[in-house]
Amino acid sequence: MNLSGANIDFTLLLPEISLAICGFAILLLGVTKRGKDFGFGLGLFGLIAALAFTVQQWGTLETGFFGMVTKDGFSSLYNIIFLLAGIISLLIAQTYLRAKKIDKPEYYALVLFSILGMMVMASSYDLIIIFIGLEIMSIPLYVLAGFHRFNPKSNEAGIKYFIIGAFASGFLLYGIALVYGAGATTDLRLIAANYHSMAQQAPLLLYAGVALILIGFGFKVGAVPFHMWAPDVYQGAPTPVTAFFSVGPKAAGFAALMRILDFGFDSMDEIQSVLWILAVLTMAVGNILALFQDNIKRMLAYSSIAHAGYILVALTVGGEGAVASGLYYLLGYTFFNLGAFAILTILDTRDGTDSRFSELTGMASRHPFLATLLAIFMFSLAGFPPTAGFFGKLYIFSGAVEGGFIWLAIIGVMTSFVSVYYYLRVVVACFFTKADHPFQQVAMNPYLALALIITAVGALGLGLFPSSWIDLSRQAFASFL
Amino acid sequence: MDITLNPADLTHTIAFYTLALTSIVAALIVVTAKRIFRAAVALAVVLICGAGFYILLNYDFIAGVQLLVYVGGIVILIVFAVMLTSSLESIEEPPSLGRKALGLFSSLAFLATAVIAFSETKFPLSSISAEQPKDVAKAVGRKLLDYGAGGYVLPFEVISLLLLASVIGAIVVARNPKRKNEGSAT
Repeated sequence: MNLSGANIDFTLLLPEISLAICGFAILLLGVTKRGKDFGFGLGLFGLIAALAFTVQQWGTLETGFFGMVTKDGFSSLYNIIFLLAGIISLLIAQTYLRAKKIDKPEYYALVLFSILGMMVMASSYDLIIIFIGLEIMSIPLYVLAGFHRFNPKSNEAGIKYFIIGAFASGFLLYGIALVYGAGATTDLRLIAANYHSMAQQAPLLLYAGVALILIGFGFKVGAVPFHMWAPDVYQGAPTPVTAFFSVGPKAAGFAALMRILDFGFDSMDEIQSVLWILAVLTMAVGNILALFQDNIKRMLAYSSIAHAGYILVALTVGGEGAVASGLYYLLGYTFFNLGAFAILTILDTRDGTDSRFSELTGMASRHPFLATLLAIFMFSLAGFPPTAGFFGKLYIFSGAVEGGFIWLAIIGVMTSFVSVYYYLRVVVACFFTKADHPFQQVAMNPYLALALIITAVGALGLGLFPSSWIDLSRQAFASFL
Repeated sequence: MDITLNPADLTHTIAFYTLALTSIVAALIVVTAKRIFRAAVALAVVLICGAGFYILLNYDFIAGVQLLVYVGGIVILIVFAVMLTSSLESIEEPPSLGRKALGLFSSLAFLATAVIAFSETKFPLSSISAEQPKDVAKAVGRKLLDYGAGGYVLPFEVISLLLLASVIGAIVVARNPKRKNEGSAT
C-alpha cells in the first residue's frame, strides 16, 4: 500500500499509542500468575511515557489524518491534566485496592483506556472523533464505578452511571446528527467557517442540535440540572475511582465544550444566556446542597458540581482571557481536589470506614502532617490565598466583571462564600473536635506519600506563581483561535 | 438488491404509510406493554420498520446494519436477559401519576421540537437525493478505510479500542465471583 502523500503522522499520536500499548501489555501479562503484579507498574509507566511525549509536543501546532487529529497547546494542556489525574489516582489506588482485596490488573488497563479516550476527545475538531473519544472514556468508567463488586453501593454506582451515561450519549448523538443535518459536516472548523450560511439555512436544526450537545456534555461535567447522578456515583464508587471521576471526565467534557462552543459555535450568541443560567444553577445548587451532607465523599461530589459551575462562568464569558482562567482553574482543581481525595482514600483504606465527618475527629493529634495537608487542600477548594483555588476564582470572576457579567460574578462570589462553611467543617472536625474514641492509625507508603507531595506542590505552586501559569493557559487557548 | 424505488410511485407511498403506521403502533405497545417480553417483540417490529424506511430510501446497507445489529443483536440480548432472570418477567410497580405526566410532557415537548425543527428546515441535500449512490455498502467501506481527505480511517482504528474496552469491561463485570481471595463483603 502506498501511503506517501497521505497525511498520516503516527508520531502525533505517540502519547495515545503509548497508553494503548501499556494497556495491552497489562492485559496480556495479567493472564499469567506472576504477571498480575505488573499492572500497577506498567500502568504508571504508560502514563509517565505519555506525559513525556505530551510535554515534548508542547508548543507545536500540527494536524494529522486530514484534520481528524489536532495537537495544539490546548490539547496538550488538557492531556497533561488527564495524565496527571491518572498518575495521582493510580498512585493512591493500589494500596486501597489491596486493602479491599480487589487488586486486579484490569483496573489499571481500564484507567489507561479511559484516559486514552479523554485524550482523543481533547485532540480533535471532528464531532465524530469527539464522540468516539467520549465513549472510550465512559465505558471503562462505568466498570470502574462498579469495580467493588461485592459492595452493593458500588454496584448501584456502576449501574446508575451506566444508564445516565448511555442517556447522555443519546442526547449528544442526536445533537451531532442535527448539526450534521444543518451543515452536512461534523468538522468544527467548517462549521465555524460556514456558521452564518448554516444559521440562515437551517436555524432550528442548529439550535436544537447545539442544545442537545450541551445537554449531553452537561451530564458528563455534572452541571445542574444534569447532576443528579453525581452524589450517588461518587459515594458508591471505590474512593480512588471517585478521585479520578471528579477530575478526568469533567475536564474532558470541558475540553470538548470549549472546542465546540468557543470555536465551532463561537458566533452563536444565544448560547451565552443558556450558559449563564447553567452556571448560576450549578454554582448555587452544588454549594448549597453540599452544606447538608454528612458523608465527605458526598460533600465533595456536590463541591465538584460547584467547581464545574465556576468553570461554566469562564465558558459563559468566553474569549481568550476567560477561557484561559478556566483552564488555569481546572489545572489547579486537578491538584487540590485530587489531594483531598488522596487523603480520603488513605483514610478509607482502613476497615469499617464510611468517610463520615465524625471519623475525622482526632486526626490532627494522631497524624498532624496528614491533617495539615487536608487543611491546605480544603483551603484551596474554598479559595483562600495563596492557593491555586484563590487565584483561579479571582481570574474567573474578574474576567466575568470585565466581560460585563457583573451579576454572574456577584452570584459566583456569594456562592463560593457559602462553600467556605462546609470546607472548614472538615478542618474543624480534624483539629478542633474532641474525639470520643481514639483515631484509627492509617498506614502510609511511598506511593501515597508521592501522590500527596505532587498534589500539595501543585496546589501551592500554582498559587505562588499564578501569572506564569495563566500565561501558559492563555498560550494554550490562543493556539486554537 | 435491484429494485429501484421511485418516491413518486404509488407503491412507494403505500409502503411508506404502512411502515409508518406499523412502527407507531408497535412503539406504543413497547411503552405500554405490561410484560417486558411483549415489549421486546414490539421493539423488534419497530426496528424492522426502521430498516424498511432505509430500504425505501435505497440505503440497503444501513438497512442491513439495522437488521443485524438492532433486531439480531439488541432485541435478542433483551430476550435472553428476560429468560435468564425471572424477576424481570413483569414490571411490578406502575409509575406514579406525577411521573407519568412528567414523562408524557417531556416526550411531547421533544416530539414538538423535533417536528418543528425538521418541518421548518429545507435540507441542503434534498435536491440531489434523486440520484442515489449505487453501491452504498462499497462506498461506506471505502470511506472507512480511506486515509485521504474526508476519509474515516482514524475513527475506524479508534473504534477498535472502544470495542476492546467494552469487552474487557464486560468480562470484569461478569466474571465468576466465586474465586478465593477476591473481594470482601464490606
